Amino acid sequence: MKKEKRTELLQGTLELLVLRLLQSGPLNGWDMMQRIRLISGEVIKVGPGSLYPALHRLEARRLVAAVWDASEKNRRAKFYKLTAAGQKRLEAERETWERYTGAVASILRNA
Amino acid sequence: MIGWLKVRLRALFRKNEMENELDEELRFYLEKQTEVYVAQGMSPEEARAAALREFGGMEQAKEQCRDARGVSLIEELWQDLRYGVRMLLKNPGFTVIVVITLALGIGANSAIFSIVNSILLRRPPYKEPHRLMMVWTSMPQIESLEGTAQFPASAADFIDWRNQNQTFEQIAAFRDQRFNLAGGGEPEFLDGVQATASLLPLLGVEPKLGRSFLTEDDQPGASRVVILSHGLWQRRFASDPQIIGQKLTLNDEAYTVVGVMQPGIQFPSKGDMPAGFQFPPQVDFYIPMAFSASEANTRNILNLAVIGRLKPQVTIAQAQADMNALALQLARQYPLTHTGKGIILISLQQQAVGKVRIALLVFLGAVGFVLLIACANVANLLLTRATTRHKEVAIRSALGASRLRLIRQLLTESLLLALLGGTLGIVLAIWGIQLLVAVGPANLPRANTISVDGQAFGFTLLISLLTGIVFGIAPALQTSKLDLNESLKEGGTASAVSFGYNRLRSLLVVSQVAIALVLLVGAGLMIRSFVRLLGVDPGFNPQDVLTMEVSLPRSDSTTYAGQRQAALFQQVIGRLQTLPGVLAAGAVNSLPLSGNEGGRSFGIQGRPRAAGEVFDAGTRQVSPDYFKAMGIPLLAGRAFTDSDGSDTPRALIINQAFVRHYFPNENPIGKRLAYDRGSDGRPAWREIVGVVKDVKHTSLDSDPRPEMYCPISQFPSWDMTLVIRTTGDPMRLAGDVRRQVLAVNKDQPVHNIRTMEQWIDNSVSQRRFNMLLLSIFAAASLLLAAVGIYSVMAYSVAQRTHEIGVRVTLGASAADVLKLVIVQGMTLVLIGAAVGAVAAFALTRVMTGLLYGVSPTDPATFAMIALLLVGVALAACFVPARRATKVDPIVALRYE
Repeated sequence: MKKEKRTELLQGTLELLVLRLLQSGPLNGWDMMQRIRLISGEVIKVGPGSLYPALHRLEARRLVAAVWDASEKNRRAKFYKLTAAGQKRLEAERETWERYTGAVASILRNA
Repeated sequence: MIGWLKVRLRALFRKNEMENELDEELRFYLEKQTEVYVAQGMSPEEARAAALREFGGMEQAKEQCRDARGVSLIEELWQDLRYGVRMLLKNPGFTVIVVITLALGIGANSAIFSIVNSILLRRPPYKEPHRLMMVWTSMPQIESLEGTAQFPASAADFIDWRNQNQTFEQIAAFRDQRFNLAGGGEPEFLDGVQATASLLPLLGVEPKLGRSFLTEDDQPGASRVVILSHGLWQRRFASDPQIIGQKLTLNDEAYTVVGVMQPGIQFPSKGDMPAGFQFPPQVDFYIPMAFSASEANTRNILNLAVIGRLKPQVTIAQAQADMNALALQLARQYPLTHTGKGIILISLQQQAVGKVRIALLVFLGAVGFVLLIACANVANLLLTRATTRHKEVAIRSALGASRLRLIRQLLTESLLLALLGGTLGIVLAIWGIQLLVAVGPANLPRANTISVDGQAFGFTLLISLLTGIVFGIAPALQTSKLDLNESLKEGGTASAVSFGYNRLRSLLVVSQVAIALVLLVGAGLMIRSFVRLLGVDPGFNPQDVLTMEVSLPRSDSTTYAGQRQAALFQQVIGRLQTLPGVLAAGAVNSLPLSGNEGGRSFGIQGRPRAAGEVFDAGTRQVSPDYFKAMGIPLLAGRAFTDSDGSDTPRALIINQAFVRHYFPNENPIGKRLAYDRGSDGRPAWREIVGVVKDVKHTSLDSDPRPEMYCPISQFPSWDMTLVIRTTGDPMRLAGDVRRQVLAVNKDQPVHNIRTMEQWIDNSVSQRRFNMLLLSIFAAASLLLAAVGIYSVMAYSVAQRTHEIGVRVTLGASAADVLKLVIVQGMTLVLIGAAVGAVAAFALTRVMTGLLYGVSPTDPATFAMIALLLVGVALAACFVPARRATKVDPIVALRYE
């Protein structure tokens, strides 16, 4: 089986990205994948095999909530939206992430 | 929290809905992605395949989503259960064998636990029982002689203990009391307890009807009152609610019933008290005990059991120190009688269970071992099944089941099996206990309270779960450890896997053999002890001897005082001797092996005693022909005759132990000794006229102690047991003998009609019970181990069919093949036996107290048991080995 070369994402990172994407409004899984690909300039590709379990994990932890809604062409799709807890978590995670990448970048630059 | 619960409950009950949603969600993705690919120019089929590929594995992704929901545990458990039930139903033979094996193992454990729980762990039905202490006299000088450390107290001692102790809140004395109940039906013999008025309040026991004893009840001259036991009230008085205030005729005296005891209260329990200090198996009544002025000054008749309730916050050690000080003070005050005498405290709980504790703990250990062996067998079966299941397991793991998930599934099945086994086991335990109590020794303490209760159910559930894990974990770990590629290959026999299996199986066989050997050695030692015990010469001839007790009314009136007692018995015995079928008839006040023991201290004429030195021997009153009737050989001097009477010189016969102990280098005949005073207040000297053979009076396993016999005519007794040597079955004569007693006095009941062989039987019942129980466990373990060895070897032979075929083709003979298999099997067996022998060597020590005449590391027993085990193991190996020799090389080789 041919394996695509993909930038590996840490599990927590994917969840962070999902939370950030949902900040601007409810999305379904397929939309999220497209957005990640486009916004990252094709650098980050998330397969459905990792995205959907991640979404279900977030849902189980009440960080996102799911609603069934019509997508275009009136097809039913499962949309995820950020919960209040998810919003809080996003802020916290984002800060941690920035501190962390800032620190890594600083070491890479100055060490 | 509520939201969390909702998701999970929804997951559990609306599983299909969630499953559909998951399908729909993923389908939406697939369709969108397919559209994209189609738009890029792929054919619809290619596009769909490409979209599917992105998942890596659709089912795995789904499984991860399910896992992510976090509801999997409950839901999967349900799934596993249903799956497990399906698997068990699919292999009914396997399921039945496993469940029965486990049921036997678990049932035995529940039964023994129930007994241990009832006897060792349950609190006695009294208020704060931990504060109840039995208080005994200790006499280190004669302990070695009698093998017991606990002696009763004299009335004067009891009064001093009561008045001078600092550590007891209350203290009470009690003793056995027997009554003949007359009037209102058949004359009936009643056995009960006479106690100071403090006993019932001390125990914290209130009567069901009426009142308890009052402090004035135990004063001399108080009116006679009685409290009936619940059992007697029901049986004899038909639970008459108007019984309070009625008068009963007990031993020709009128007693007023003042109370009826609560059901279930029996103090003391016969089995709780030390041997040789006999209490009735069933307490019929309680009466108050008043000390007459002379009794209150008596220090040399030890006939009272004493119980005390510690003050709150007082420890046993403090109380013991207090009583030690008191004992020293009494020794200073009364040097002649009390030098060297001590006081010992034993908690009531300890007193009750001390005797059976070791045996029960040994049983508990033994059933635990049996269960372990059963677990090993079940683990073995599971392993065998695992090899046929590896494909199923491989498919499940290929479909995304993690190893943990597989183990959980397999363990769920084991637990299911264990719980089924436990359920059936409880049923077996309930039956088993009924059986055990029925065949158990008569003096098993608290036998009537033994039942499978809530605690036993809890215990059974717990060991069932533990059992399920113990036998399930190793096979589960092995089964789930798979190389996918290897297992999925068509026709793969999973040789890599089976190596691990075989090592595990070998380990199981070794441990089974080792445990079985420990149990067998334990049982072997018990059996040898028992055989030894039965081979002991009791000192009398128990064949064809009928015994029955006659208790004359004990009363202050003169009806039977003194010579009248002797005359009555003489009259009865005279009539018995003329009965056809009677060879000899006699009477004794306490029968050998009946548990009644009495001792007296005495003086020897011309041999002064040093302070603290004790001359002590058992005393018995006998009729002239007692020795003849009992078959006790006379070794020197003469036996008693009818001419030994109240007006002739007092005569005494002693046993060999007496001679050894007090007259080691002298001729005892003609020596004089005294243990009481005559009517003139001077020592009543009795002359030794004969020596008889030692008799095992206390028990077959104790050494005979010094004994003296005196004629009943010179020392009358209220209670005598008739001893009749008969031709043929003694029990046939019971009716005739009873009629002769009634012919002399129509109101005189007899009781305890037994043959001497029954008394012997009764005296070894505890040991026989121990031996039987342990032997049953050992036999079960041997059988289970043999099955285990057989199944492992049969499996190994089946696995090696190809190899054996090759060997046969290359010229191996049937004998070579036989040897191959047997050597493989017996290597394991011998390793197991060696391990077991070492373990047994270490463990049988705890049984020392249960053995008789055999050391716990008796080499002969060890050797014989090892031989037995190896023999059985050899047979278990031989069957599969024979099958191996029948392997047809053509078939075996073509098979590959």
